[in-house]
Amino acid sequence: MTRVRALQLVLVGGAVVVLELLCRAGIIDRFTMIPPSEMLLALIHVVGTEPWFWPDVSYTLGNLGAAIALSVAGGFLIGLLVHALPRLRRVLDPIFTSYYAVPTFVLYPLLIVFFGIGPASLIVLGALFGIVAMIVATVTAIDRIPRVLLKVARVSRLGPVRTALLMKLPAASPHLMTGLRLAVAYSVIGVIAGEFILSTEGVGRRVALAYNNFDNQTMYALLVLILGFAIVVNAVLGSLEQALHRRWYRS
Amino acid sequence: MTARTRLLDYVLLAGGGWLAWVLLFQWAGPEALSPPGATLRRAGEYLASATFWPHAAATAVAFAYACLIALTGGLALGFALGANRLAGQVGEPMLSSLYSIPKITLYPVILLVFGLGISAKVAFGALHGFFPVALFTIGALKNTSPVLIKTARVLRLAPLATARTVLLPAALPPLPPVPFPVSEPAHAPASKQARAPMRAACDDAATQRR
Repeated sequence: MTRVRALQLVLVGGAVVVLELLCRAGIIDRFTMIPPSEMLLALIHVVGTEPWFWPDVSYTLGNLGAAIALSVAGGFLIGLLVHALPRLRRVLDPIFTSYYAVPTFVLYPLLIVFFGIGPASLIVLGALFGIVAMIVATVTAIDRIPRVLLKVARVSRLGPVRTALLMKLPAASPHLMTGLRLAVAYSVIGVIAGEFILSTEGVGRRVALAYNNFDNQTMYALLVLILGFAIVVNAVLGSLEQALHRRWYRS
Repeated sequence: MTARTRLLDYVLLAGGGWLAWVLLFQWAGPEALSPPGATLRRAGEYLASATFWPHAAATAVAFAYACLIALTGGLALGFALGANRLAGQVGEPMLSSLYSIPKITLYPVILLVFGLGISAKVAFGALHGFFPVALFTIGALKNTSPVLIKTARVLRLAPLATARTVLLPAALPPLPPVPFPVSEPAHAPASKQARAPMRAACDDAATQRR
């Protein structure tokens, strides 16, 4: 495992060094990309001095939290409902399967008409993007609960509530965790993309603004911040998910 | 459940969608939302107009190129990472991280690199398509029965021939039905399913011996 980590570090570090050299040597010109070291310096500068930084970050994080809560809770409840009604499940199945082939962002103008330009439409966009991953994961999770656990619950004469809490929920947790990771990732994409397209505040809007003003320093600083955030969140949730899978499917 | 009830279900779904649209229209008013009938009529007019098709063709060309790049690139990288255990362990989490980043924020970078035009669209589309294809391919290869791989080695197939005649056919079925890449570790139940036919064969052999 440590060897794998070391190789990953070498790959990422190598890519950064190559990019740095290409930029420094002028093969990639400064109007296209600034060297990674300057991106980092620019990020420190933006965090330390720009007055808009913390308000915009907290705006984005607030929307993100609401979108994640909506998509995870809503997706779990709808997933339970869909699993309980096989006819509904069969009808909705093609929609779920093709959902991520549809560019959900085309709905953003419609959301703006309904909810106005502001947190509400961003939250709904993020939640719309994440919810189907959670629904599908919930249905999969319930499908994969081992039959023997339900039999054990019956033999132990557990009531329906205790069966759900003590048997079904822990057994479903690995796939629910997969759903949580995907819902978070998709919500991040939805909220930041919405801000990028049209918004009055937020980190995504700052990226669009910096691009329009030819402010490469700020743009790359914020890109590093956003991509770093997404990668770290994904890595943390991914390792939790792997741990749960290992615990349940050690075989 | 017969085919007729299934058809009825789809009709009910479409009818429910139409009804929801109409109710939403009643609630939101004509300045916010157009009613379903008028929308479909306008779509028909638009399809018949001369301005529509050049735009559709431009999108279709960019889509075709992006698709081609994402599929060939994703399959190639997926096979390279899926065939080797260490490469897979190193590469898959990185690909999964890259898959989860909000790539729309990279659009300015792509515009700076490729300029405004078809190449930027193709690059942006390929960027979105590439990672799911690669992740699916790795997942499919991971669940390939080890017997098939051993057979290929016994037959001394070259790597390319192995990929074409053994790995690709074995990996094809899991590609369409899963809606998104649920990356699972090798010891998840999917691999158990992949082993199931093997175990059945062993059981058969045991009963015959008896």
